[in-house]
Amino acid sequence: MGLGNYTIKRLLLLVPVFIGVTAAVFLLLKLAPGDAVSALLPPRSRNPETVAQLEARLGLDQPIYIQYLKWLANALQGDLGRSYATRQPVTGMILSRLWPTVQISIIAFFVAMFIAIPLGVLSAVYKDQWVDHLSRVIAFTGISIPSFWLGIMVILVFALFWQNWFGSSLIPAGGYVAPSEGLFAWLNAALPPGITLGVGFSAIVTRLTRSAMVEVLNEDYIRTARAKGVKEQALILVHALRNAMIPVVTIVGLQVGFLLNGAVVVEQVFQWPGIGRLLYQAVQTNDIPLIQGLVLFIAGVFVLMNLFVDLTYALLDPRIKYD
Amino acid sequence: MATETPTFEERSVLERLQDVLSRSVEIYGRLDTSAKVSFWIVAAIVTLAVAAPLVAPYGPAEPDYDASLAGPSVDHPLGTDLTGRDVLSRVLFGARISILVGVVAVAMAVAIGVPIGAVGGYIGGWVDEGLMRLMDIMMSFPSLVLALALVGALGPNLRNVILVIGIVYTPQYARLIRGSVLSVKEEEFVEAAENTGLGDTKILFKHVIPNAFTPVLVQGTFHVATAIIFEASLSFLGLGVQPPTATWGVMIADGRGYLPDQWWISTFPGIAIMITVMSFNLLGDGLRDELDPRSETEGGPGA
Repeated sequence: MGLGNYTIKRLLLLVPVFIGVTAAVFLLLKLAPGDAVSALLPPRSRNPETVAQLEARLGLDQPIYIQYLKWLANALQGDLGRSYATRQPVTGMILSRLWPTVQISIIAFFVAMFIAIPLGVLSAVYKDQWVDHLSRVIAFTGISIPSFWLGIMVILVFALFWQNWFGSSLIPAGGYVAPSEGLFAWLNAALPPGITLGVGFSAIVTRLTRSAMVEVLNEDYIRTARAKGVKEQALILVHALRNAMIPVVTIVGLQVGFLLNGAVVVEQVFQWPGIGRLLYQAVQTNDIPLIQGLVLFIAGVFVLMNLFVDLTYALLDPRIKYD
Repeated sequence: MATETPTFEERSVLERLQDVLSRSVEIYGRLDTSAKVSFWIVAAIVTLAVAAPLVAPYGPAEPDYDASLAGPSVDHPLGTDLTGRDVLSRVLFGARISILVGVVAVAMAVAIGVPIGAVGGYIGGWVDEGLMRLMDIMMSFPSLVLALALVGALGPNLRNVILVIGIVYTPQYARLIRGSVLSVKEEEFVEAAENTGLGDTKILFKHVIPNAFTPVLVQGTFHVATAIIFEASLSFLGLGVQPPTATWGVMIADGRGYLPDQWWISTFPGIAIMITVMSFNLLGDGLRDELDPRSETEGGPGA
């Protein structure tokens, strides 16, 4: 089977994943207690008749599978309906919140690339020496800190305490600054949530890089290269790291889910208007079209990321058979 | 790998307990130092959680309006909150919720995952394909996002938090058990057992589950750690256990309104989470190195 067929097969396998997730969430929200519809009406005009009228207008009086199919068909054309809370189109709301989440994810990703991967390589090269032990402690601390609490501590120390100690805060205590407002102002606001998000992420990447490197360094071709007199530095950086990066890249790609999990709490703490905060707000206000739209959107991003990683993997590693 | 001898069933309950105990002691002896230390920290936290009503200096919801927002002192080692509730006592009572959620949610995931994995692995074919595809869907979706949508639909309370975390962790156990079923299926002793007329359920309990015990134990230890962060995150967002119950996530959320002057309200519950989660993670890491060195199970933050 060639790469083309492999891609098609992978794409086809993603269809049930996509339908499964969206159908499950659609159903659950329909079964949810609490009446989202009557809450839309002003209390004075809230009676069985007006509720029924509104339900009919929203198409909620139809059988549930019809509702789901209609919603999915519209969604595939980019129409996710309108938010109950703001009456705005859900698609537009999601897209406008996407960019802030991408910003802090990129920062988290950079933190992982420039701190976690070198640390993981050092740990593997100096396995069981003090560098390795230190990196293990750092990584396990990073994995074990809840990111919402870390964010609060960052704000406490660098914004609030800093203000008390030095008269002005080092970072803002939350809030969004767009990149167009100047690089420095943006970095000042975006780095704290970005780094907070990056800590747990980096901890995972450090451990993964270490185990991938340890494995590669034990391979025969590394020993052969060493025996042939390849310099140690070149050996590690060129021969070993390049091969170790294959699993690391794959798994880093799959951690998009982790970043999205983190975004929910970190954006809340830093009042950063991204996708995670939007989901939180939607759940808080029981805004069903918005929750459904977000879950669909996140499932879509996730599925595509998985596909992308799969294909990169297949391209990077010629040993992978496409079947 | 735990290969039980066929005579296992014939021994008395006491003898079997002794067996498990001596094996646990032996495993403990092989752990590295950090895992040994972590084991004792975990044991201490569990003991404190269970004994919270006995060891906590005050009740978890006992107000003392004269001591409102008092800093750490001899009377209140970790300070008090707005209504003068003792932060140390609330942290100790909060441990009960964290440990309860961690252990029950993981037990639930095992209880649901094991039958799914066993059935899939045993029957094979499209049933297996279907079940595993379903598990992949669940496993691949961002867990907190899924949990948020689920809790939003079901309503925020302790039972639903446990339920949701249990569901989110189920696929890993289904996969582990399925893998174990597939390998056991190939082994001779099952063939032998089948020939002697042993039923499928018996084979499952006598051969498959003991075989998968080690990876499940390692994965479970990591999952308790992530479940604790998970619960704290949901409670922090107001979508988990509700106030006035003392939980670490709720306490951190409460304390945010009193920063920076009353920093202790938010700070200490966070340190409690960190120590607890780190101990479970290091214990899991030590167990994996010793019992299951080739496995790919990896701890990770819940949120």
